[in-house]
Amino acid sequence: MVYGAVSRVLFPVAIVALVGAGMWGYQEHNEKNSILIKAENSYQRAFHDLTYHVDQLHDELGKALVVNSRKQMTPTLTNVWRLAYAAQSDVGQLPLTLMPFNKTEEMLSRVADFSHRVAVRDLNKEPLSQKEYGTLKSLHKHAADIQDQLRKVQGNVIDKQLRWMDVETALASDDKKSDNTIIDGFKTIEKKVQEYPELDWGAGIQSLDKKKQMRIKGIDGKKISKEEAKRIALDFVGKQEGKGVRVDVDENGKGEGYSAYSVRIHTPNERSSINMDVTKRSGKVVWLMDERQIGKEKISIEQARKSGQKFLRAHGYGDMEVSEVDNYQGSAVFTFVPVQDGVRIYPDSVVVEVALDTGNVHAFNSTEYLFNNKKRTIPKPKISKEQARKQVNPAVKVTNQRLAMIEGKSDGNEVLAWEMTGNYEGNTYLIYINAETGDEEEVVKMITGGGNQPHGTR
Amino acid sequence: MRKIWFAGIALVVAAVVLSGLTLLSSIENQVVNKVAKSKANQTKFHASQISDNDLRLMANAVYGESRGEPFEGQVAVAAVILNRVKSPSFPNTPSAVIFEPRAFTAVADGQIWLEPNENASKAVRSALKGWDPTGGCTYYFNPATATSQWIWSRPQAKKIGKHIFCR
Repeated sequence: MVYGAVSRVLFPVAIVALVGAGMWGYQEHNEKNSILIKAENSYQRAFHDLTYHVDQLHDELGKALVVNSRKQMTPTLTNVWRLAYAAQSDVGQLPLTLMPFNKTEEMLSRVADFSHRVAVRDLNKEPLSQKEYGTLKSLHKHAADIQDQLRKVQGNVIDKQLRWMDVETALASDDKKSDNTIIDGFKTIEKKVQEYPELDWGAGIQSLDKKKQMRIKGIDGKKISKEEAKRIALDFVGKQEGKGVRVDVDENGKGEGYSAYSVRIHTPNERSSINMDVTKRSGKVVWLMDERQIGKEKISIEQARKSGQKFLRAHGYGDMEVSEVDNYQGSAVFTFVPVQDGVRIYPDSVVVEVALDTGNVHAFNSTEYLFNNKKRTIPKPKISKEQARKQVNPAVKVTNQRLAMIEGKSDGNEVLAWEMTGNYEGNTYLIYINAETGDEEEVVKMITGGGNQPHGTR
Repeated sequence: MRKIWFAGIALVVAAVVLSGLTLLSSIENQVVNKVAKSKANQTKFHASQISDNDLRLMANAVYGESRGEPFEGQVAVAAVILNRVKSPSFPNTPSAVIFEPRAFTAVADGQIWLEPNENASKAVRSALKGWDPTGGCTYYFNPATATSQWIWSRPQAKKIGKHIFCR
């Protein structure tokens, strides 16, 4: 009796609840589907854009080989640059990150750099060399391979309505058995690219990276032991082991750009540690980082600068001049450069962060210094101060001028340059005029301002 | 009479000119003072790098990826993002690197939108100033949670906190 009465009331309620739940579920399902389709469409767009751009890239590379007039060469090469760049950006939008596709991406980026460098050069003065033609020719061939393979994958995607969302799940599951046409297609491309012989990209591109690698690996001197690294690290920060100070030394793997021990000094009373890298050869401190939380600011930027300079002198870096300064979050960060015969040596810069509460050095980075420092003979400038000034855009108001050694943009070799501080429409720029040829080497936009400017601390 | 008039006018003219000059020079002085003051106050002079909003985006990514890690580990994550921007096998802007599909788990699961703390943005600033504890790495993973086998094949540089950094 009672059961009947209850069920008479509850049955319609249950029906309404069921229908409501069903409707809600259906709506959720629809919404999920529409989001999935949106995500899938953005992958599809990136993928079809990629094949389109590679198609065009292949055609443009072919044109670059056929074109004979220099007037046509520049636009063709700038097109190659634009298309390679676009293709690389398409790859970056596809879910391929944890899949070996980086060689292909690297190749696209190299093509962009190579074509840009050649295109912006004055081709009347310096036409394409035989070597560069050779590079273009092989690039044209490689582009054809990639294009073929991509077209095959694209055909499959359209025929079988393959979805990139499935690629994503297949990659996420990391299942060896999962057979995915798209993944296989991209793996084939990557394999092909890996098999290409190393191309000659000319000075400037790989040489810049390689040079750095070599210099870093080539720090010579006596090999030091773990114990010695520990002692060097403790000496560097003026601390002693014991009394709660504990030191860990790590050997590190081979993947690091330079071979160094990682030293961590734990100081429990300050509840923080100091980390640093000490090179395995000759035991130089590459960088240092103190993890202590910085308290209330007590000292001025000027006092901080003096403290930084004192630190550098104490650690054998000699007298250095501030070239850049920044301050944020309770610390001041200075870039110091050595000065030799009145010339600033920018490649030998050292960065020092000073905590504005205690005035102590909070962090230190001498990577550039260690890998560039050498005995230099500074050449005499062939371009006079006044001649250099004439090379600067007349609309720029030059306020300061000095000589400096900088790393040349084109091939990474050091060049002597006139550095001019200039103002244009309220902005400050550093302009570098090659002191030997009078060429404008580089222009750097500077950020200037006081301590509490809106663009400073946020 | 006339002479006195002339003398009077001359006196007034001289007074006006003199007061005008002093006024001008005081304005000039003010301007000069202002310039001198702003020079003394100038505590920033460095090459332009990324905008403050890009910096916040990077801080978000660093915080989402490594908030439980030591400061060095956070600088290392920021350095990996910057190394990827420089590397030819990755996109060319910080945002493209951060939002590259499947590149960072914190981006995939939305943890990137947590409010970052001061340490995370400090870590990004340190990396921008050139500190790179990884020595040029472009990958890192947590060995306890890594799902990809391929990542183990990369040459490893060092372990910081829970992350292994590799090339």
